[in-house]
Amino acid sequence: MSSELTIKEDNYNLLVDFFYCISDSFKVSSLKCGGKNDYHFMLAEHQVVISTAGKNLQLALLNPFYHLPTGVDRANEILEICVWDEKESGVKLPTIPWQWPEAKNIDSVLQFTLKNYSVVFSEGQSVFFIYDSTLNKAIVCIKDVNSLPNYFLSQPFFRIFKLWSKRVDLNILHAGCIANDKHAVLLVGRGGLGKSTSSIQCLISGLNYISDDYVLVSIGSNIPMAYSMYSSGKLNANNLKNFPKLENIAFSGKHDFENKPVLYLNKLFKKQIIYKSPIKAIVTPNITLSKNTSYTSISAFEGLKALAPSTLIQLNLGDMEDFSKIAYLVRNTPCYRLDLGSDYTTIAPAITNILNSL
Amino acid sequence: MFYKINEPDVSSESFDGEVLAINLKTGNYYSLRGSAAVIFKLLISGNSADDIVSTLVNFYSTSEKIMLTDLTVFIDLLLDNKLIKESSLYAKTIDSKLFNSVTKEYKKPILESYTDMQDLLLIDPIHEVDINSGWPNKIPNSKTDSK
Repeated sequence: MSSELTIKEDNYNLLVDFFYCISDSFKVSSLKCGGKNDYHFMLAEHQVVISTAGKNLQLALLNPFYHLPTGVDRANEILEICVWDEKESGVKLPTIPWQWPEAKNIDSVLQFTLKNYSVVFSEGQSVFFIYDSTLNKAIVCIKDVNSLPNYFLSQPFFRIFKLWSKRVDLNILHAGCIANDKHAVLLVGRGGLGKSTSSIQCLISGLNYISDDYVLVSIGSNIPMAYSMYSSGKLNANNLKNFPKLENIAFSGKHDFENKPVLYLNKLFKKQIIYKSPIKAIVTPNITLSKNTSYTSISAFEGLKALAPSTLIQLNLGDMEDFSKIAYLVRNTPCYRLDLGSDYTTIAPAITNILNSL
Repeated sequence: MFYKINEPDVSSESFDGEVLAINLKTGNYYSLRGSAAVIFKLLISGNSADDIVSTLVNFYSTSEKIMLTDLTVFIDLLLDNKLIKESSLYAKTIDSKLFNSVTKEYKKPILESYTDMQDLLLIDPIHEVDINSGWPNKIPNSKTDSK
């Protein structure tokens, strides 16, 4: 038992030293890339600043955040994310003072948390970060921004927001989110059931958009609130053909492993991508052979079955405490099944009907 | 023999006579139907199989023999799927509210399992470091200098 504790304490001191060391590397890389560039914005009523070493990283990574309110509010605690690119700056990630386990393949995500430090090595071992929850600060080292996969470019720093959300008592749900001027519905279910298609079709049809894949939610409040994280969306390349209007804003990148181009939606729909909206219903899309889209009320149990496994298992977005919170949300929110028709133009009217009935 | 939920890997939530249980380690999730929801809740609160049979025989109109057979099969299923584990703690706690939304007609306990998330888990496998087993291992005489 005592040797176990010694190992822990030893590792912790290594992490303390390492955090200082990697912070210095970020400073050096900023100097080499022409200075540190800060971009401040609000995420779910919390202040975030992303500091990049040089301007190139800003151009590559910040597009999905440009729809969020900007500005500096010194009264709020700030989540600070400092990022540098090894290739651009020539500043290497400091030697990691521990050994990772042998991962079966390079796509494995390696991670651990020790006290206030969380360390994650992901995206084919091309993105490394350490997050200090006490300082609320993450230092990120990217091997080469031009080699990052599409899913990272469309949802940058998702793994950091996942850790941070715990700290600020928010939940990230695997859900699309569509709203009218008063309130929102969550579109839930595992991948491939039509969340993105429904969300993007609703956006094209004039409804407001909060997300197509991940949404931040405050569940504990009187009325649960959905907050937008990213203005980007993703659609299967074959499906993109059904949305000709979007082809001009689709970015395929060099590393589109999922064959899902990124859609920088704020370029076309700036006014419709909104910051937040109260959640009034949970909708589970379901692909059918019908032509027209229809909807029907379902039990809370069915709603939970659609939302909880895809959030907690598929995306590893929480623990048992989060399961209880999701169950609380579902218990107190009406649930519907959306039977998607082959005629996509019938999706938005069906969701509009649900929104207007709430 | 007594049982408890297989924490921290498993958690469950109860809704109107049904239970949804999730095993985060295996990536499977389960719907507990029929009499399964009430039996599961009695099991994980520390009741013995004998306590459960006598309670259920009083509530449902079915024989003790059928109940015991069904219960034995169901417990094996829960153990096979790593939803419960054996416990040394006995707590005879029969909460009468458990039966509030349960019909008097006996329906066999059903464990419906869903494995559709497993393939998706393999796409982005996560290797969580086990700090308690002394991991990550310190590299002997390591220094935090540049590569």
